[in-house]
Amino acid sequence: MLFNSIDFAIFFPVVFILYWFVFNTNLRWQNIFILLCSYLFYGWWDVRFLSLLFLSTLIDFIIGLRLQTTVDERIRKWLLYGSIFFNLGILGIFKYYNFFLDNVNDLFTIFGKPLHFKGIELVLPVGISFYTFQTMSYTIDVYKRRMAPTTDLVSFAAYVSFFPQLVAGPIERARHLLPQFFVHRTFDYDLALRGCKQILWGLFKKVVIADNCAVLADSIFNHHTDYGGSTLWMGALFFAFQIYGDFSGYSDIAIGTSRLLGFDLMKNFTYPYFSRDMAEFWRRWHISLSTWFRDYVYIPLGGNQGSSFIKLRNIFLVFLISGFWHGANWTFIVWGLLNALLFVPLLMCGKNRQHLDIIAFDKRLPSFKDVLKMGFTFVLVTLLWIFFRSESLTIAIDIFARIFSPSLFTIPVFEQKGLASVTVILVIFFMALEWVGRSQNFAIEHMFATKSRIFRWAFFAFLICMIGMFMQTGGSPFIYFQF
Amino acid sequence: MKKFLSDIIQFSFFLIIFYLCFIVISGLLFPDFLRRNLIYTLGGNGFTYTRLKEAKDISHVDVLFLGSSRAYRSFDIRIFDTAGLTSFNLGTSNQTPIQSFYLLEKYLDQLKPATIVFEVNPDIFSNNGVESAIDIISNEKMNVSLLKMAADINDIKVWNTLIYSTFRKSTGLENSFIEGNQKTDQKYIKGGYVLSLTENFDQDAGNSYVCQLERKQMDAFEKIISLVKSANIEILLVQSPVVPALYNSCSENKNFDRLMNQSSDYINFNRTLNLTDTLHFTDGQHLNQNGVAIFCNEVIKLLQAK
Repeated sequence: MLFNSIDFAIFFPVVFILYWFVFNTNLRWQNIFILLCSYLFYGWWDVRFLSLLFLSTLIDFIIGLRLQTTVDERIRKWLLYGSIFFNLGILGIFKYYNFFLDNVNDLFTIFGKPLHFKGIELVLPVGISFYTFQTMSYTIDVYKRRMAPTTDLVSFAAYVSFFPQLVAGPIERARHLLPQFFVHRTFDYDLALRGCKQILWGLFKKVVIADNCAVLADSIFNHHTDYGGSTLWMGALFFAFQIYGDFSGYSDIAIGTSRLLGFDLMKNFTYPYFSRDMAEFWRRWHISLSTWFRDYVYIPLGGNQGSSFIKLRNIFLVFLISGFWHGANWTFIVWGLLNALLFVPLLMCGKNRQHLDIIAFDKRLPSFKDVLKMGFTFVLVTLLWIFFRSESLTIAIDIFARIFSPSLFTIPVFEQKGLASVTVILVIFFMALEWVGRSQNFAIEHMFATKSRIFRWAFFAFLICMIGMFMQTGGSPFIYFQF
Repeated sequence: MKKFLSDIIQFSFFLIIFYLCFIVISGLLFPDFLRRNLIYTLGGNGFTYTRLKEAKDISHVDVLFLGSSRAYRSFDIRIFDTAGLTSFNLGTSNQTPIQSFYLLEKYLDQLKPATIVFEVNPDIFSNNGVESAIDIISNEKMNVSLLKMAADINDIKVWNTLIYSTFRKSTGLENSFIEGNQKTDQKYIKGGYVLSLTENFDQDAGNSYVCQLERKQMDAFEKIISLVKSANIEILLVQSPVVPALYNSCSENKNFDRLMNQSSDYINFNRTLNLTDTLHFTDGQHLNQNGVAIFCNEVIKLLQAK
């Protein structure tokens, strides 16, 4: 079920009413209800993969309990390996099996001994990369004794499958989300109101910004050989806003929906395109994944402690895995490695934490220096998105070659000029609102808070009108579903 | 919770009024590119305005034609008239079964045809019906059936057009509108036929299909068949000829023919008529007058045989 679909527009109000008016007296019933709704939400897409979700939940639940009762550290370690092996195993089979097979075939072909291994036709279960990481965080935390395991299977299953964030995050830590299933939830007017605003803002980002940018980016990337440097650069820019609007829009809707049910999810994006260097960008982009890798890969490997070689190794490993997490394609791996390359100089110079504040805090506009820094970082990020968006490395390199050619200084050509013009206007409007609201959790959280109610309502109604006037019809899925 | 629900309800009312005003203001003041999901095509392609206006004054015909531009540009009512068959062509641009059903519901009792010739092809069954719905809503006065059709399509563009069209028609903004009977290379012939004034073959226009039959169009088609059969009216399903390259680009042809054959009498003229691109077509999917004459005479033979 897509957030931007009629199905969800009917599903969620029904859930909301039953949740607060029928099941509100009993916490256990509320959790059972969340679990059932989550399985319905997931099964709407493909009911077969519910078994996989349940199996992953059950195995980690049992391993969590065994980790608590087992004293022998060796056995505990094997239990942890069991959990990791299972979770990465299903991820490996569904997501990476064919990729590895193709590469082994290619490798042997290079040496003149083609193997002709045949791949298997597998449908990638939606959200598998998200929920496997979420359950792994639970077993790792129980193993490290950072938290006690739960004995309540229903609450644990509801935590793993919690429908607002099941298929595209934020990837929650068990320590943060799981305890919320054990506390009686009361309806909070302010929380619910902020939830509604965040859902609206997320929808605007998705259906107005991302979907319109997607049409333009797709038409350019899918026929990249027909275009010169300036058009391809515009395609990369459109993709930059597409992926941001799409993914942060999903996160906003997920967080807003959770708020309406009395849950608090972690932030996933904090205005990444206002970053002044790559380190800041990675603190602001897909925060739940970056911090997951930080907590469960980077720090266990030694983090930034040790020799320069160890530091470099850790950084490259984390970015490599992060790239590979996104998809079974060399383009994602190269994208990860290039990000590492841009990040390393900052780490080595000790400048990776120089921008922890909010840019131009208490000021209306940024300084000239900040503008340059932001612009430079944004250009770098956008160039790297080319690898992320391209279907192969050859295509990505070809696009780079075309961008860095004299045709970069020509006037861009668009098949849909009207759409391109209006999308540019919408993106400027969107980024202006983001700039104004950059110190909030999401841009419109407290926007016009001091103005009269009618003024605020007019603003929210205007955003809905913009959705009605500029949304792409047909309901496109979220990009991160494929990961 | 009470306060929250009360706020939501109040805001919903506020939003409805705000949205209606927004659509009207956008329609009146904004250029096309700034109102992308508000399309208003009064007097647009296909002479829908004139045709629907004329339909209101017609009753009792031998043959009623339904379908997309392949219907209103292929069934020349003058040729049928010569053969002694009175007819009316109720085809509209990109008409899909959802719109055909709407038009039938509205005009069947009044036109009382002895036979309906329904031009069907995989293209219109693969269409979401938005363009045609907008065409009809823009050119028709607001009524409950239009609302039902908009609900069947359920697309924001259709809803926006419905709001704006209702506003324009209810405020009399269209009262002075007159549609001419000739537009660039097309001429409206009384009775609903549109004559193509160009004889040149445009090989770049309409040369590929996206063929994926839509469930909702199939449902509407089944409703048409049962409506017509319940009124004891003969229905003949016809697929008009298109250029071979276009016809062969659809992977659903066999499946489509099977489905149509199961529903009623059906003739696919792509299989029976041997026409030449440059001699009989103006573009990939529309016949020129030579092609129209051959095609209509074949249809007349079928009707007379019936």
